[in-house]
Amino acid sequence: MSAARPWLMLVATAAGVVGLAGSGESQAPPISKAYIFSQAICLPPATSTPGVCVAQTVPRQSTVQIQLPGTPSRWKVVAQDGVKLKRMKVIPDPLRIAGTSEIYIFDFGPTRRGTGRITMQESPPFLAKQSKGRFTYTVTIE
Amino acid sequence: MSGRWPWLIAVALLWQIGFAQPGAPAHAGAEFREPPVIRPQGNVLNVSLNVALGRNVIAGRTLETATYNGMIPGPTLRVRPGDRLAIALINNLSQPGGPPPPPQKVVNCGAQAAQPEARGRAGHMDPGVSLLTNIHTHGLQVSPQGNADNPYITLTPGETCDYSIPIPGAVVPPDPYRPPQPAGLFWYHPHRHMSTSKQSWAGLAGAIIVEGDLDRIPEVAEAKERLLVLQELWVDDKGHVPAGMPVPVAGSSGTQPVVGTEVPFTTNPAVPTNIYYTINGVYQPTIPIQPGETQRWRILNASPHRVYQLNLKPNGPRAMPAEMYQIAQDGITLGEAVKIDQRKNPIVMAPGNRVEIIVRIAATGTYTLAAMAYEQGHPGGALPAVTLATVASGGPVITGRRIPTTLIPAPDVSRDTIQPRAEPIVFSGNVLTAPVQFFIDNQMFAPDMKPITGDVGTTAEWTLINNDVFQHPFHIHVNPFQVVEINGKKVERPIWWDTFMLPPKTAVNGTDVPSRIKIRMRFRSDVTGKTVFHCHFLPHEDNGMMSVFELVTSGTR
Repeated sequence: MSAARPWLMLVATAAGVVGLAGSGESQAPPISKAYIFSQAICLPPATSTPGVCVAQTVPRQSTVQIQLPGTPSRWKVVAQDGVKLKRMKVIPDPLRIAGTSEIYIFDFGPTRRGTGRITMQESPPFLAKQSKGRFTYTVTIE
Repeated sequence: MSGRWPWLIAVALLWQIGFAQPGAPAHAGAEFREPPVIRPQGNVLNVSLNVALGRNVIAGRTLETATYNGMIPGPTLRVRPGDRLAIALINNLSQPGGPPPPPQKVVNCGAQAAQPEARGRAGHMDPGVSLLTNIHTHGLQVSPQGNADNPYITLTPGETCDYSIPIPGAVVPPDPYRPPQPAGLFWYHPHRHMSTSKQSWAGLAGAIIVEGDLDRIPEVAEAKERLLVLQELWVDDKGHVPAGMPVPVAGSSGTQPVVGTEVPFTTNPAVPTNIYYTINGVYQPTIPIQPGETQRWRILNASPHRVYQLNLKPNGPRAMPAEMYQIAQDGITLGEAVKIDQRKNPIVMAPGNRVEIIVRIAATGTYTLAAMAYEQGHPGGALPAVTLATVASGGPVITGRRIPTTLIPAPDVSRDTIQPRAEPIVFSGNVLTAPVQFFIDNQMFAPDMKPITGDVGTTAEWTLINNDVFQHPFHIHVNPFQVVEINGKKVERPIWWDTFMLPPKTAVNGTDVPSRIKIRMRFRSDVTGKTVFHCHFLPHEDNGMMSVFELVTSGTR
């Protein structure tokens, strides 16, 4: 044992005695329950039909998040079945994807088991031009 | 013992009253540890690296990922110039819960690599790709041919390759184009195109320490040596590296319950994931140091994607700041120690970079070592700050420790005849679709693509253009380089690198303006053959941003 080891253990012990954060090991971040989808699964080559996003499976107790590049085109939810929109925000994303400067982020919560669907509309159509501005996400909720 | 109580109580009180900064809490974390060290016998370092699934407990979770000999990171290999690395790389990889690998057989990997296109075409959608592997000795100025540092070797599960990698020693008389391997920190990691990033996210990496002249400088020799291998372990809710295709997403999207722990990737199919930022496979360890002691930290960024802007900050408003002096970059000693001002010239480490620093903390107390929020061009803006470790200063005060000043003169190319490459090399990318696509000169990597050549025994100047918002870390095998110009501005005191982040493009009046740097490198006269240069954001490399580079004898291109 090196000379430094005993005092290090004492520091940790003392921290515990006075009710501090030390527990011998730091707390890991909680295990994520977020399922994140982007435009990538709605465009070729991931999907053979533009706008029809690759079907996904999520548990009932999860957060489904959809991230879509936009601005000047805007994204909105036009249909949701089996899930409910909980919140939405827009964050800056300049210079990443040509013709866009922000990311639209939508958080949904599944409301029941079975097949759920979310339809997103881009106005005016830009990334989703091949599918008339629409991306349709299908999820199997377990 | 009684003499220690005042500082002990002081440290505990500082903890209690919460000097830790939001998002960067200080903990009495897990014990700092280092990987086991393997040394040569005579002039040969023999090591077997078994690449196989292994279980490691990280921050209370059991992760099952690809490992070297069951460890994260792998063992440290400690050699000297003139030694030979004899590595038996054994591919025993399998999918979690999948069938075991077939029985092992030793293959003639050097000959196999001569026909890379025959084994190099499997694509992203083939799950077996993640089980292919090889090894790269990053920063060693060694042959890329045969069973040496050959990135074209592909080992399938059940195959063993006996690598033999002679490390250059000194020659008499000294030859600027045949220098000995510099003393410093280098590393090994998988380099099989299309499986590199996932195997790095699993934790496959290890340090190579070359001993030599730097170690004999008195102020360096008396400093306690520590190795810090920084890694980002990306795992799903089952503790495995996610099987699906990585898709970049905003890394600050608020999907995680704890701010700052978001993951900048999803997969197709999507699964929930976390990233654990570890040092030597330990989540937020506590690094002990004594007041007044000097420590030599050899830091390696073995993460496939994360850039670390390191920050060492006292956990208290009146605590004394730590002193840090950089003595080496990418395994090459600086001419003199450089005092680090964390605001003006912070330590910024791209994936692949190594930095050596002398650290000294005068007083007792705790400090937080963190990676600052960093804008590396990823969708959604800066990646959030993460806490890496607590540094706990305590115990008997050590006096008389000095900081080195003059170190070792770096190779000077200013009097070389420079051969400029006429055509710039252009980096660009597309993150709209999956898989993402990254390009060098508008081409994605193919093992049989036309190589860019370099004449051995000459000094070349290349211009690199980045037409992307990503700060692609440029890495070239075999030869280090100096960055002599950045966006038209001459670098006054260039240092040597083997991995350097290209600045991002910018927008001026609505028009994209690419960045441009110039590098100079000496091509060793004793190394020929095909190798590669690439972006060291390994998901970018796996998705195309790599190019074939061939060292040729003049007139044979």
